[in-house]
Amino acid sequence: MSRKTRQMAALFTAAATLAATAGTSWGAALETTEAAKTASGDKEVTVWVEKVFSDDANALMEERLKAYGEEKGVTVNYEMVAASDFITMLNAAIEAGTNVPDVVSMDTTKVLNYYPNIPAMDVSELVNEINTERPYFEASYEGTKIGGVHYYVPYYSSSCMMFVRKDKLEEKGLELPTTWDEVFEVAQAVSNPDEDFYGLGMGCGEIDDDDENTLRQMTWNEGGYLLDAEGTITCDSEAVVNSVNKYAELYKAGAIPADATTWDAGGNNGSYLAERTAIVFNAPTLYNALQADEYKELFENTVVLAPPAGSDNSVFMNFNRGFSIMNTCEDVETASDVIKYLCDKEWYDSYLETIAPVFAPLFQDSMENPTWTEDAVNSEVLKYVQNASGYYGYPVETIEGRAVAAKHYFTMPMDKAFNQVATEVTSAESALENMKYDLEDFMDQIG
Amino acid sequence: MKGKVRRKILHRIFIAICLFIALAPIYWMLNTSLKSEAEIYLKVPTMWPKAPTLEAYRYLLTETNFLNGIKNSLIVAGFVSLFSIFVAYPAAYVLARMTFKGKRFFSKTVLFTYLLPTSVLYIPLYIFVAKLGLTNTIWGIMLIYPTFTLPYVAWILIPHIASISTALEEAAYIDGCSKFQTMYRIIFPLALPGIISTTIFAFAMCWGEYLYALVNLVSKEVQTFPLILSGLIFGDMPPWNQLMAGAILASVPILVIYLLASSSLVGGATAGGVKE
Repeated sequence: MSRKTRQMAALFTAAATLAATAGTSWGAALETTEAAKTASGDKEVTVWVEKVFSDDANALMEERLKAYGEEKGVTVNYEMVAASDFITMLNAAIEAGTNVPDVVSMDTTKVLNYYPNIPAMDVSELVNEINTERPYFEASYEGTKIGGVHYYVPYYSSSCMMFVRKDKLEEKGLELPTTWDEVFEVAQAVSNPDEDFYGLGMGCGEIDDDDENTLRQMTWNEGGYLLDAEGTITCDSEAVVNSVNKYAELYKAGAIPADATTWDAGGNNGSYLAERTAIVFNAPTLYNALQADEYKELFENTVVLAPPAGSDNSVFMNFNRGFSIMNTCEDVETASDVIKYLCDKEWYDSYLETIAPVFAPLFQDSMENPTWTEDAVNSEVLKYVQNASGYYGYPVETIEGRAVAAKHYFTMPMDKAFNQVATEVTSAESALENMKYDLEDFMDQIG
Repeated sequence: MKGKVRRKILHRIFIAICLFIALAPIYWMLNTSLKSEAEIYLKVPTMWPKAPTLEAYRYLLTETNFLNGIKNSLIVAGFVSLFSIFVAYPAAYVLARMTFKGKRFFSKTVLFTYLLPTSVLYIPLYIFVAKLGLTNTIWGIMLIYPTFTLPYVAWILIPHIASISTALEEAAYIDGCSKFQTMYRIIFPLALPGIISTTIFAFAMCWGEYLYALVNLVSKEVQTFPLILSGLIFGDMPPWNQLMAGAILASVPILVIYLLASSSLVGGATAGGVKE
């Protein structure tokens, strides 16, 4: 074969590969896709649901939306969107003002991030209607109000549980901890850095959103807050300084892995699965991972508990999620009806069963549901959800203060401050002074 | 003699180090893709899988839309890279060979267009595609991707074409070739190694593109493979073995195209063509 022929052949190889791979289904890929669409009807609604970890649960949700379309004669365009992609996609649609879905998955922090241009409707009436038929837990009903208004219908909640290696505690004759002081004591007692084993798997890497939440919760429980109820900055209070210093003390004492300052959100569960740490705080996704055959022994040696209380309180972070109706929705009645359909008790309970214990129900009658009472972990998770009243900026009450706190959260400020002090870059006072400036900047932005 | 041998050994060592740096991440991808989740999270990472398993590949190929994503990516990347060459080659030729008013301006514009960051363009381009009614179709991103492949291809080809001796063109004119014929029958074959390598790079740019695809392709039926892989991540427990298996599989088409084209990526086609 001549050189020129070979060159030409090479150039067109790509085209040939394409044709061969794509085969006869080119047309299908090229046509405008409206695959995820139910039987057509006069009415139309577009729903974007944030995918959860379980394929079965996602399939159930799709089936339910499909059933709604068929039952009510409504065209339902539904998409299951990956959690990591959701906000970027939604923001693009909102910015462009086109193809904005009618109903979307939402949570408090997302709503507040849009403040003052919240793109979701006030759905308080719909929430009240659902609450009348099937009362919510107080923490879920009140805790999802923003400025006295519901911008989303609370649907389920995640949690952050305490995973403890009971075998390691038993070896030392220690009781399971119930307060932060006990956690710290136990952590120091079981740590053995020489064998790469540490009592507390609590990180402070710059993108570790898991431990950002845990550090906040620990600080609240010890009476330290970034803002007070009126929205005044209090992040340099003595209680916050003490929390930061306590973490640094544990870090230096070898009760926390040296690499914890570089972790991302997967760091703490990775350390636990690698049997490097005795206590971590994580969503029950870790519990699901532990159920694999390979972790049989670790699973048997693990106990899942509610997070510890502090010397001041035992406020837990609220991780409620739900459904919003967007401002651009033209058929609010149908959109509301879709949400009500997803709240049907029988279906809702069976759906939540498939995603237990990662997500828990928000309704009071769940306390009588065997799924949530007879299983030890599910029951702990339900108790968590029932009592979770914390939020970014807690205890600030003004919507402006909450918006500042929500935007500030995305800079992972607690991670940053705890990290700087643990790694001896600066003192707690100086790190928190910097946090104060950052908060002031966000306040200026909000106005 | 001794010095020559020593130099040779040092060269080999240097090449081995470079190879190690280049191939280690690929080896680690392959290694992780063949491990179980439990092995991935072991305290001391294993250099090779203790109990190799193809489970991650099985899951990816049978339980997800990955293959469909690969097919969509192939269609988009193949079409856009060939289209880009088709359009950018004449542009590059003109900018490399012709003299006209504003040539410098056009030349710089090509570069500046290429330098515009994706994060600035994705909303305006999304609006543009939406107005055409092409969101959630691969036609939409086929329209968007040339905004970064065209300037790239043109910018790379300009110096490449400029490096080909003008004497060959002059000879072609003398023999009666028109400008157009010279461009395609004389210069194009001589620039082919550059054109092929640029096509491969343009293909690779589209192949792994994420942001434009993310905002434009909502339905899983039309999503490209990076979105399918990203969809596997939930919370703080990424399925590393599946993600790495996806990355390994996704690198195969690029590798195949490169291997097939590698014989053409040899310079010196014009060597001896002109007596200076």
